[in-house]
Amino acid sequence: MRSKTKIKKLIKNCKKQEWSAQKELYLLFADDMMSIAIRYSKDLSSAKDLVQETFLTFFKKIDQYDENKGALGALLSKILINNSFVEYRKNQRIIFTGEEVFLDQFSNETSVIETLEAEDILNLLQKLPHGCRIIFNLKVIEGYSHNEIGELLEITPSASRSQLTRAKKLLRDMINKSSSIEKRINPNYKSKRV
Amino acid sequence: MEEHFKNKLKNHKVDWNKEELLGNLKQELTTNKNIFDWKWLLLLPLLLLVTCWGWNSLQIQPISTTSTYTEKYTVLNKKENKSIQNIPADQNKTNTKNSLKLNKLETINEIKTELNPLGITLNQELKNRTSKTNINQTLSPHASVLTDSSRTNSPISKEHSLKDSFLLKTATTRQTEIPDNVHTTSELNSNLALNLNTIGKSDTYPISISSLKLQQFDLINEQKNLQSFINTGDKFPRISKVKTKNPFYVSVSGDIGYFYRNSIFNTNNEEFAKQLENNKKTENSLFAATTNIYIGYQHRSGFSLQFSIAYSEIKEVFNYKKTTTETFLDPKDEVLYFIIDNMDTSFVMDTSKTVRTTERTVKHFNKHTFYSIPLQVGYQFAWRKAKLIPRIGLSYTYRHNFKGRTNIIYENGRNEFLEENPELRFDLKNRIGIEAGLNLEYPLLKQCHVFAMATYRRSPKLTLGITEQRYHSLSLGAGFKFFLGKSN
Repeated sequence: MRSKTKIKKLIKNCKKQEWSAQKELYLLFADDMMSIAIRYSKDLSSAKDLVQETFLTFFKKIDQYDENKGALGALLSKILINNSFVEYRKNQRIIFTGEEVFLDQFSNETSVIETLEAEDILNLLQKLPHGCRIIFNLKVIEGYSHNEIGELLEITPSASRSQLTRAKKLLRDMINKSSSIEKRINPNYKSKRV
Repeated sequence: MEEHFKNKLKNHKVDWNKEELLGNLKQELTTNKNIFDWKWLLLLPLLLLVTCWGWNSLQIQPISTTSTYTEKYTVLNKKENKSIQNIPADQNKTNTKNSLKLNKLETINEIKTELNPLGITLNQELKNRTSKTNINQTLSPHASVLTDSSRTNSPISKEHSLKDSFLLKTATTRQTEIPDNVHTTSELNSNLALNLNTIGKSDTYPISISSLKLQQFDLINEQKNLQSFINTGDKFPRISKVKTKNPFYVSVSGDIGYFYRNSIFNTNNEEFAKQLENNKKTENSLFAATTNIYIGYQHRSGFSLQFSIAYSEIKEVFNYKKTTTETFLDPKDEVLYFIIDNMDTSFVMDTSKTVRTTERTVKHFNKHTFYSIPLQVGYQFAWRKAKLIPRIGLSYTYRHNFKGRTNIIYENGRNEFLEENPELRFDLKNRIGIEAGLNLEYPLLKQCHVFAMATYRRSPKLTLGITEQRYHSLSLGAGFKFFLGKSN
């Protein structure tokens, strides 16, 4: 159970660098963070690294945390998302090359899409290039505007827009491809798994 | 699609073992507690300089010096029979004025009386000459007290007579700071005659000194002073002729040179490591430039200690004219695996990625900037007027910035310039570098020296992903050194 008083007490003890409090706080929020991290990472092991990095950042800078400024969960997810950019930037010398324009060609695949479960969607997202994945997550799941994404990633809003279009195209192609093959193998197939 | 994805993912929980991260987390948090905060090192050079300054101040005003001179003064000041130490500054001035009114001849006789026991005799010519001048002033007992305060407070004290300086230097044991132009300690216990006949036609000063202890006294300089005083018309040489330099200095310099980039790739993928090693052959140094502002302390023993604020820039260009292998996902080439589990057939998308090889030329223009504080120790070898100063020390880098630009030339000739993300930064694995060099210094003015220098620098280790690198630079430069304040 997460009560405000309990979290407050835990934070107070965390500021004293007490491991028991740090551990308890981690266990309280780890699942939530993982559910976000998995969307921004290419696999489970990268997501674990991201979660670990998030908690480390938080515990190191816990003295700066002001409880009145926002909920802890929101802050942790913000750190996590930010860390995902940093990690990405460190590993990629060049990001968001050019402003490729993809035509937004959505076909009538709604019936197939609706059958997709969370696990399938995650599998698809993990296959996206990192830049596309970040922007897709920020725009579609977190609800950021292209201007906000541009500011966060230090790119132009139009670059963000084109990356999102590219992400959608890739997702659509992957879904189409898998469903067509499945249909070919099993004519009675009703798309359930991707 | 967006709505569906959002709804499905918002409340999705991942099945994982969260406790497996606890070990790492605990280890990282415990290790971080013990990390030494290198920022405290910044205080070290300041502390050292303050110590040097304090020590130097104590050396300038030793109490024993005052008492020594005072003791000798009392020999001269039989008439008043007072200790100069007991005379307040105001009274001191009054006494000086009074003493100016003394009869000149009487004073000369007194000099004679005083000098005889010390073995110094003045011939008639000198007597005549001194009688024409302000001998009273120059022989004023107050002027002979060479404390620092009397030098500054009393205007008369600034005009020290030949006799004063001579007597004080010959008859006293000097314990004050040794001036630059004074030779090393030597004792002359034998009879010493100074024949200054060469000075001028009618200006002969045969002075005989017996059983004198001359310590740290530069006869040549004294002779020059005498000559100068005679030629410039009866002005007595001033004690300021043997002033010492203030040991603190400020220096400004700039240098430019070549650097070598030493990089290591921490990867288990041998092929990748080999490729990176090959890439290194196409990396070229453009230049390494540094500007420094030093604050230093020059000890009379020849050792110096200096710290500075340095700004360094390193520019390099990487010209990778190699085949670039890209790993990316191409839906058209997607390979699917079939997994048949009993009666159910499911389809899992391929987890492997498509590899495409393209020919392209990639040029990286990188600029690294370092802000650092070098702390160095040097030793000064004098060769005529020039000084050769080898120096060595450590350098603490407190900030490092990286800026890059990439030029990609594609197979079809398309040329693309990209600015690298400013947040893409190298981490400083440790902040300590090494700096060593050789300065050749020459006095341009009394307080200002010019120098040429050769410097070797080793940067701290930088890390980015699998890359660890360090820069070794060798540069040539020049600068100016200004000694602070007035001479002692």
